[in-house]
Amino acid sequence: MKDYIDKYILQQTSIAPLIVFRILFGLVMCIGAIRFVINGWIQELYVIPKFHFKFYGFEWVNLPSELGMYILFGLIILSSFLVALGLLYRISIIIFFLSFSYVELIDATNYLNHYYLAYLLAFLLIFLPANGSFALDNMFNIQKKISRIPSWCINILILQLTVVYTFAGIAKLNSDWMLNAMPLSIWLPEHQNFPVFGELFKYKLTAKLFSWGGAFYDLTIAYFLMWGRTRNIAYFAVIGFHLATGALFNIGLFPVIMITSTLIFFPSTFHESLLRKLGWKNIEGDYSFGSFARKSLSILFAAYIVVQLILPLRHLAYPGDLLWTEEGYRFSWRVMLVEKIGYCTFFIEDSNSNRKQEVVNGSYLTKFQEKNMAIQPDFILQFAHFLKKEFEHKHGFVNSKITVDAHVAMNGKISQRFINPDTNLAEQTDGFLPKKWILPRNN
Amino acid sequence: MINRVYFLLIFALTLSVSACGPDEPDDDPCQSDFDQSSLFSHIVDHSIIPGYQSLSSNLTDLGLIKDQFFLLPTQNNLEQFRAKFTEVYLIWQSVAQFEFGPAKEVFLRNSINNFPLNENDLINNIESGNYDLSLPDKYDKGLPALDYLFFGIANSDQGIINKLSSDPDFEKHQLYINAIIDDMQMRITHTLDGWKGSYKETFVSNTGTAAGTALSLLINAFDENYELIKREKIGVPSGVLTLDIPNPDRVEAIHSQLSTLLLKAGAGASVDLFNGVGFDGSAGPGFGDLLDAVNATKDDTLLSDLVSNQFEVMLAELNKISESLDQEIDNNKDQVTKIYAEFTRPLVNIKTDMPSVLCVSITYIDNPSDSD
Repeated sequence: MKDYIDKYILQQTSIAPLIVFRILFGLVMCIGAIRFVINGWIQELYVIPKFHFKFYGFEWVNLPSELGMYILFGLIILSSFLVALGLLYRISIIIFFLSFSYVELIDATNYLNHYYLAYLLAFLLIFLPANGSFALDNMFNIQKKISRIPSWCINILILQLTVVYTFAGIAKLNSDWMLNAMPLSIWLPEHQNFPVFGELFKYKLTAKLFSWGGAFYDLTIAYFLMWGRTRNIAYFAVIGFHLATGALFNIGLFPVIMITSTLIFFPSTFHESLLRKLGWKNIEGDYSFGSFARKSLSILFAAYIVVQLILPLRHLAYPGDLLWTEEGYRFSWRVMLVEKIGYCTFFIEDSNSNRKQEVVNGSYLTKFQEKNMAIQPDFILQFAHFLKKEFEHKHGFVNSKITVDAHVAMNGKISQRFINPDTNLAEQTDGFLPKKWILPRNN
Repeated sequence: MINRVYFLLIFALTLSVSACGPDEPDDDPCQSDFDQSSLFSHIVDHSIIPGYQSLSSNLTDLGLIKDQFFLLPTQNNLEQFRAKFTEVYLIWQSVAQFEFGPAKEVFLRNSINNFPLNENDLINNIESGNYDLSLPDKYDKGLPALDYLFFGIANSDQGIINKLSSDPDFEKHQLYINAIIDDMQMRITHTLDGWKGSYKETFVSNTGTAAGTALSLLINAFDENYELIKREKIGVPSGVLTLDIPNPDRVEAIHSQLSTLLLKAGAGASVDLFNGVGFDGSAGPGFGDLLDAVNATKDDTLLSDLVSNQFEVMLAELNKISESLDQEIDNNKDQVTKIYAEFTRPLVNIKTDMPSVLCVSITYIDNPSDSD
């Protein structure tokens, strides 16, 4: 045990992998944010929608003005670039973390697993001495130049990526994915015009091989990357896998994030030679955390690791089919796991006058939000509560009753009723308890 | 260690081979031998092209009758204009569900039939002579504008004739009428030319299930149009969508009193497209056949039968009304509510079941973001 702690936590190791990680992470985040702005997504996803869905517990996060949104993105772009440069690193990474997470919290319909990953990596980087070398901070004497850091600073990032892959793999071990090759049987045939391979995507066999290959890849890749004898081949697999999924599916920056960040699995010699080509000179010096920092960081990271291991498994505490109810779905590395089409119509009734109205969702939501809401019970509930407030405020409704006619079709199957149509959603509250008004999946 | 890796690989391979095993077609909702191109050809040759062709030539006739009326503003010529207007409005209901490709390029639906009309905008346009008919979200043009100008601008027929032929400003009115008919004609010509040109071939051969394929465009446009009928033609006027407070003034074609006829035509066109009946009346493949080809069933009934039967019930309820919809809302609201309910019933089938079992992308829901 003591050897283990020495080797993976305390032993001093080269800072080079962390430096490469910092530079690439900063650049990818910077490019990602610029791409977001150029695509006009600030407008489409934040400015145009009149109503924004929240994560449970973060209802207080307000949408800033349009100018505020652009300032937030300006901060993200600037701070991530400074992170890459290693200038004012601590302040920059904290600003990046805060502004990035604020944007993510404004509207939960925009949740993506790789945004969550970026958020976690930024959080970890706050505590790591990633400006210890090859950083402008060294030039301006903000941070003394060092060459060695405790090995946990590297291993925590390796652990994080291993958690991502492993849980993504475990999530695929369900009968829809493994036995029915769903949803790839729906998605792959859409790419019949893909150069060279398009013809293959017609066949169910291809979807099955891809499903099994994907599960195998996710479950094992981190370990093949750890092991020296397989590392090079495994990294080619990383590049191939992520480029292929990037070409087939609309997954934005995810492939780039994974391809760049998995370099952390390579030994320090690899990173050192990479940096030397860029003019880096190794200067002796160890980084050591003060005793207070050591104590508080070990508690913090122990807790962090426990949370990372528990969050993806929390669905076990809920009854029913996770893919259907989506209770415990987010923050669990469930990536491209299910194809769903939902349709829901809300009815609101005033208890005083018995006036009743069917709601046109499009009056309050964008089509993108509506599509996302229709398959996620907590969003359905949030919207119901919004409607209650809206109608009581604008139309003088009192004690309104809100019901929903909601149907979801999943993985190429016929649709099923999703929410109990008799439940008065106005009386339901969100929380961590199972939502009894979600109807179970039948087949 | 190396042995463990080999073991894992072999284990995975064995499992995947056994998982492939014999093909189970029942288990695979996406695959079918259905010849998509035959469906597309049928729809293009018997609904889309004849539909736009008919719309275009009738609109040309409407223009000629209008010229005739401006030259000779008689009651008889007014009647003739109105009769042709009715014909054009009815034909429009059949092609409104093809809002993609060339039609989408010119915002055809918004240009032809944005209703209810914004009378203030219209009057300002006429007064100032300063307007832009290419704005899709303006409600100052198209057939609803003609509905007002030829049926509702004055209380009597003579009053209308005077407004358009002798009152001060009659020339401004005539200019505006010319402009909106020309605008519609220009857009319909663009659409028809597109279909008669290269788009037809592009469309018919664009098989598959991805976003942007012919099937995806057809189903999305079909669903969206059906929902628009539900919402705009029945939902808003009847009050179902507005606090139970009816808005009979928001029916389609309020002045010409054509609302019920137009609703029946629009609903009928949806049903025909589903059942494979062309605009020209010819029978052929429809969405229902496509659903049968993938053996889609719900509660032990063929999905196609389920939808067709619901459509029948809906049309039967619709046929129980005959007065214009605003009058039916005033005098027979329960029946209108019933029609709305029956109209709504198949929506879950055409909006979730149909795209799901056919594995078609829902594209009219834009995806402005990445996914994962």
